[in-house]
Amino acid sequence: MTRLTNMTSEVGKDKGDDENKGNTTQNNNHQPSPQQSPRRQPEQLILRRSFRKKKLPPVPKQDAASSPPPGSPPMFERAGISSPGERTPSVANSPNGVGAYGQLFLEYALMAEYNQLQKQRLPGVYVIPSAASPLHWFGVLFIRQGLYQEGVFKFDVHIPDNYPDGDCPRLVFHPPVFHPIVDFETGELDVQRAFKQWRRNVNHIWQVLLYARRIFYKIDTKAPLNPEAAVLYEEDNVLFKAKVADTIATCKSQLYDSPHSDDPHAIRFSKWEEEKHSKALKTIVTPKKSKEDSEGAKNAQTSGLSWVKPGTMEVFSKETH
Amino acid sequence: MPEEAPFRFTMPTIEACYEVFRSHWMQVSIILSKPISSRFQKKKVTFDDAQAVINYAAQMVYLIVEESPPSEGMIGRMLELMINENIMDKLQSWSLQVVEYSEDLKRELLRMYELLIAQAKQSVLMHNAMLNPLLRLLMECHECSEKLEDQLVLLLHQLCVSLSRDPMLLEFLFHASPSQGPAKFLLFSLLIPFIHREGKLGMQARDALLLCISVSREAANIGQYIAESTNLCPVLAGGLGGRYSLLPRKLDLSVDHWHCLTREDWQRMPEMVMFLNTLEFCNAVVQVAHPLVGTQLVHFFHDGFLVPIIGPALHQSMFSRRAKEFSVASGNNGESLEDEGPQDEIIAATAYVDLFLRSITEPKLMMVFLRYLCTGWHEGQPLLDSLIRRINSKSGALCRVTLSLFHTFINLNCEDVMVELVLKYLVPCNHIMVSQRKAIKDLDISGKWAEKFLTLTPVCCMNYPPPPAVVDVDKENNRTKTKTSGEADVLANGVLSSVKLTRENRVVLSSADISPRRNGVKGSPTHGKVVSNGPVQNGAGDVMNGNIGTSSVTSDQHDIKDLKSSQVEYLIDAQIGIRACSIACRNWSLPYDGDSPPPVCLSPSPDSDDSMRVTSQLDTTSGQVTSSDSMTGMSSVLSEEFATENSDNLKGNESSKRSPEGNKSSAEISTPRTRSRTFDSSLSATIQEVLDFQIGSTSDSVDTSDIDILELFKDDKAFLDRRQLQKQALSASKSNTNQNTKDLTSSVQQGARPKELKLTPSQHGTGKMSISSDSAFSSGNSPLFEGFGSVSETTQGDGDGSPVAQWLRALGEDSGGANFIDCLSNEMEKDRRLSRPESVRDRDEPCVFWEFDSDLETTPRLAGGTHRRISSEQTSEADRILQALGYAEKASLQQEANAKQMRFSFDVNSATSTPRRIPVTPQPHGLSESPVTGGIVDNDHFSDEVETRRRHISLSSSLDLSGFSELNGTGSSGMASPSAAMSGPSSPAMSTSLSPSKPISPIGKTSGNPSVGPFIDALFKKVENMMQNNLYINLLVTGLVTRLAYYPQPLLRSFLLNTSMVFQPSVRSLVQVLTITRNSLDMHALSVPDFPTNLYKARQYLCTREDEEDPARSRSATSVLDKEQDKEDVRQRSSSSASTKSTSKRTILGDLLRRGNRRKAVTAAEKQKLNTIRESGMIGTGSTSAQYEFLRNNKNAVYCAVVFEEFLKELAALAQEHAVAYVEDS
Repeated sequence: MTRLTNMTSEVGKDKGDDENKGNTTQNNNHQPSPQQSPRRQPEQLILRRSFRKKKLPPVPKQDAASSPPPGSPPMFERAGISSPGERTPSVANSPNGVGAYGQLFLEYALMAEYNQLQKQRLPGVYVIPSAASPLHWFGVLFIRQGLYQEGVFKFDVHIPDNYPDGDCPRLVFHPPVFHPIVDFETGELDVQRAFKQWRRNVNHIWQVLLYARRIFYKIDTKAPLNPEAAVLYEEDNVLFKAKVADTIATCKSQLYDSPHSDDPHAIRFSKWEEEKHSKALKTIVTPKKSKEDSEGAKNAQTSGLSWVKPGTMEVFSKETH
Repeated sequence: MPEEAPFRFTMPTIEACYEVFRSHWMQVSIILSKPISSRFQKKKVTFDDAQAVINYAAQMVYLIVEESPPSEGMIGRMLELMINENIMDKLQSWSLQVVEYSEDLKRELLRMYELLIAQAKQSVLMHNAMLNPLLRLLMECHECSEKLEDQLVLLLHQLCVSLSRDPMLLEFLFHASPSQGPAKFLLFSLLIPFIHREGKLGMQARDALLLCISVSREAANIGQYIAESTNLCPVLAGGLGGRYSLLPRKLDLSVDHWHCLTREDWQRMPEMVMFLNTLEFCNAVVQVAHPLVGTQLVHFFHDGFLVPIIGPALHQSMFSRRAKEFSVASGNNGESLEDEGPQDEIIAATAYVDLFLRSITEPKLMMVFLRYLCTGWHEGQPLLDSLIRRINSKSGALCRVTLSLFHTFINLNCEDVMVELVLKYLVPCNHIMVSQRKAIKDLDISGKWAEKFLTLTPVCCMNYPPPPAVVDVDKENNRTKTKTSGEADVLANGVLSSVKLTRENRVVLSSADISPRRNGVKGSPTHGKVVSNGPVQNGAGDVMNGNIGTSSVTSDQHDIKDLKSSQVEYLIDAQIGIRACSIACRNWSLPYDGDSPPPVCLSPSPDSDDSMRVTSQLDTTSGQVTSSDSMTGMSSVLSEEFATENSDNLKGNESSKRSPEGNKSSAEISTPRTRSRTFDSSLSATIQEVLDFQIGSTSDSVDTSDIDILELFKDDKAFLDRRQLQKQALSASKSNTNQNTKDLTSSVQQGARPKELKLTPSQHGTGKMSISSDSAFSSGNSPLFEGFGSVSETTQGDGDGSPVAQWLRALGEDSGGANFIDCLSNEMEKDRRLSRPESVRDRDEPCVFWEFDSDLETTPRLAGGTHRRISSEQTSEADRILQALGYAEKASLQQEANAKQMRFSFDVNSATSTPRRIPVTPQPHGLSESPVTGGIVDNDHFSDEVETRRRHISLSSSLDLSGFSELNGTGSSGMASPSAAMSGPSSPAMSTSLSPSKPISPIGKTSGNPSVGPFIDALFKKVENMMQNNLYINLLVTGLVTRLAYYPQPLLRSFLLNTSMVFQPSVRSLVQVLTITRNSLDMHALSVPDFPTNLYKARQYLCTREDEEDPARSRSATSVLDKEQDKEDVRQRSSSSASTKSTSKRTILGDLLRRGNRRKAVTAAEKQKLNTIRESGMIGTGSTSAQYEFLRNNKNAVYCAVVFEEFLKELAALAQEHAVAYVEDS
């Protein structure tokens, strides 16, 4: 369990029990296979691009459990490649002008982005940074209603190395999805139209993911990257739906294939295996017990103290019995 | 005894045992039946008789001990016999009669009972025949001789042990009363006299008591009895007082860095060990006892120890010697008291209190202690005030020890303490500009704050001179050694009367000293170690620098690299610290995020009943309105409550014309703080009364401009009446929208609406001035010459920011268009959550003026919002989404049509709520009519409001500016801040849901100079004076600030770390204080010729010292810091237990400055070492006596530069770590 929840950011939180039932079952079929269990510590969500000491803040165990999605949540597992790609990317020239700290700032900016993303709990969106680079994130998107219902789309997020002062992050679907504003050759989503100019501190990566999710619910046909899809959507809804069904089926059929990237964090699906996954599932769907700390068990030196009567600001006013 | 052997070894039958027992008893009873003393026979009992009885009885006890009960619920025959014959009773009575051997017999009886209780297989105490003699025996022992004490305590202890095994016994023992004597629960009264005994006896007694007390935890009646009828609590508290009086009155402070009592220190103070034992016992009693007992003890702790002893000790004035009640024991302080005595005593008392606070673990006890320290008064002065004052004491030792005490305070993660020290001054949010409130929760997502801190690095710290000659290092290293040993001699001759502190440290130090010496033997001087550390530091540096070649760092730059890499260590430390603090703070009652508690919740207590009355009214009515105001500014979400509230309000206004009651209530709505906002909506006959009241209640703090406005209002009742009529003509939803602005409309009027308002010239002038000041703000601290262009530009930026939130809002809608409206309210809730981060916008751009006031952005949104609502009414929801995403043609057209691009719409389209999110009009502000275009119904009205609103903003901004210039160094801090009062009206309650149970008027005294409280003031003053402080004080001060910055509460975090935050003029931000220090440092560095060299030396010393501190690390230095290490780091980092120890081991220079995590280490050998380094004369120039003062100052400045630079890194690291700190949902 630890491993699973630590590796995936359960960003999403299902909203309605009923409407997700179908998808939930479907997700069950997509349980990842742990057969290539990674040798490295699962907590090592390392941003290993240049500053190997740093890692993303670990996804807390309680994260998923605290908001258990109804039914069984999807689980993922990295491909079990033990040696992380020791890529040597070019060092980004920091725009921050603090010399050696620039890289550090990039790392932290991305960590903060990821942190924010976790807090957003975008429904059906799951993302994990790659092991090799903080600028490359893997994700998967579950579409739970609408035309693309039951779609399971894997995607990559590529963040420019001068983030956040550079261009938009790019989002590429693997395999490409049939959608008016997704390039059917490359799979790249037209992020630019939503973020004409990437604005530091205004735009965030989770917005890109929100947008990526959005396009499957609100289909936009203006200036399409995939004119065929746009035209069909406008003029031949039946055919469009058929095409969409095709693309969903295609994605599904490739779901269990090895990820296109050999990065150990690449999202990998496997079939449900009771003995390997049921425990994790149980942990996820079991609400976290709120630890009740009795007054007597506290240690005044280590546990936080408060005698402020709730709702007031009166200090030392709470009744201690 | 012949019987014993077979019995012991062959285990005779039960029958045989019984026979033996009976025969023994026969023998004994014969002796007992002998007449003892009568009138005729003087003495019949011989020693042999007594001995025989003792022996026989002992054998019988042995037999009983071995006897097993025949079956469950039955008792053995021997015991039965014992009970039936009342043997123990007879023995006990006899022992009283035999005067000569009474003591011996009692002792034997005690021993027998102890044996029985401890080892008998049957429960003997359940029988009155056994118990009553025991109780009588115990009573006899009340005044027993010392010979019996150990046996008595042993028995009592045994009794308590069996109690703890069998709680049933407790009731039995408690209720059983001996045939004679009143004492209930003898156990207690017998044990209590031994509480304060030393040695084994005392330990046993305390153990026994604790056992007994913990058993009685569940029994209320016994708890009550202990609390009320025994003297346990008074004895304990009194014991503390007595023990305290034995403590040394003063401490030997010859060590320059000493600031708190370390374990090494107090372990060498027997009196302190004893005191701490007692304290620990109290602590334990509170912990295990029945709550009644705990409460009682805490009560006595307060009344019998804190108030009479700690209070005077802490508070004794510098000049008057008081509170000598307990000076009896320390007879040595006679003459030395005369001069610096009192201060020394304060220092000692402060150190003691600090130590006590660190020793207490029981929350109840801690609570009463903290409550006394935080809210207690002594001689008409709050204790806390005195303590805070001492932060800036001239005496270095007092300052250090006080800082240390505050560090302990803050380290407790106690909400109440933090409220008292800091938060209660931050909660009203008076310290920041109104518009900044929405930035309170901001995080340093993109590293701007951190960057800002790092840019404050003094210029003088950026120049790295070549390393000085090796010879210097050697020489000084030698000096270090000699100095250390010399000092040891001096200290060894310490005065007996005062306690020598930190001698233990020298033991530590001496071991640390070995390493240089050993190095010396091996012919490798210390500096060699520094050099050999190079690779390690390089390694760390490489980590920092990414994949830049490892060889790129030349050896000359080792130290520099050391310093650079320490940033990583600070990050790790910050992460650990923040995480621990965040977890601890989950217990807090409030989040302190600017919304909760609402800013109105806390302000000084109201002056009169009137204000209370008004306040409660305010709380229920207009408080909500104003809060909605700010909500709009913050997240542009219109809550339904708000709508309802507003319509209620509107009704109230209407009814106010009819009924006096309504008049009154609506008048009360416009309480001083909110009057300028809600004024026109609450016009009534009673307005004058309210105004009078306002002026009266805030007479000392209301600034003149505010009063002017009031006057203005009085003159303009007619106008207000008109406006109210106008209001009523508006649609309901419109009114809701207007609510935001209409009140402002009347607050500051200007030429834009002459038809409606009589202008006073002065008012006009103010407005004019404000325009220029706005633009000045837009360019940060730069003077006023930036024109309006900057204003429009910045406004545009604002417009770009807010649409994102709209956009989000559009995207946040999840479930398709069909149920869109149904979901609206839910979505809005969600949006509120989501869009808050969005409103963050470009906050990090330094000093952009529009960030300073939410009103500005609210207003244009408002105007445009109406427009959008009307123009997009027919468009489908999907279209709106498209627009929201910015590529709808329609939107583009509008964008062109309007002066400002309107790429985004908002989709708050329900009937109950009014659009709030609207594109910003880029009109250069303050120039003329607002350019709201398109279908606004009453365009005039809106633009008027926009204008006036802007005037209002301008005014407050101008006031802000004046304060700002003051901050830039011109003036004193005494300036009355009109802006506080001006922004007061727009300082709303943030939360609509939270209604404080004890609402306090926002009128209060908060309209005076906004302040962040004496503690922060004192601390910042200390930071500002860093250059004059010596190294240790600087370490403590910066450590305190760092520790404060661990707190995740947004109010505190934003105050300390958000470098973009704009504060009220009378409030200084940390950045401002740091800038002052930085500047003076740089000035000094320029004035001193060899400052860089000294700086280099200082750094090198600190590094050297660091190496010696950690020989293990030096050894590992030779091995390359490779990936293994990295992985370990990661593991440490990810492990929740956050192994501080190993983290600190790897620390470079920063370790020295990392006070938080390794306080003890810093206090001990490190500082000692530092001290010797310092004294060895780090400055190369000749230290003649004439130059001494200069040198000392220079030395402080040089060390300050090092500390300062590290401090900045630490702050930067904190800002960054806060941004990525993941706080799990609780």
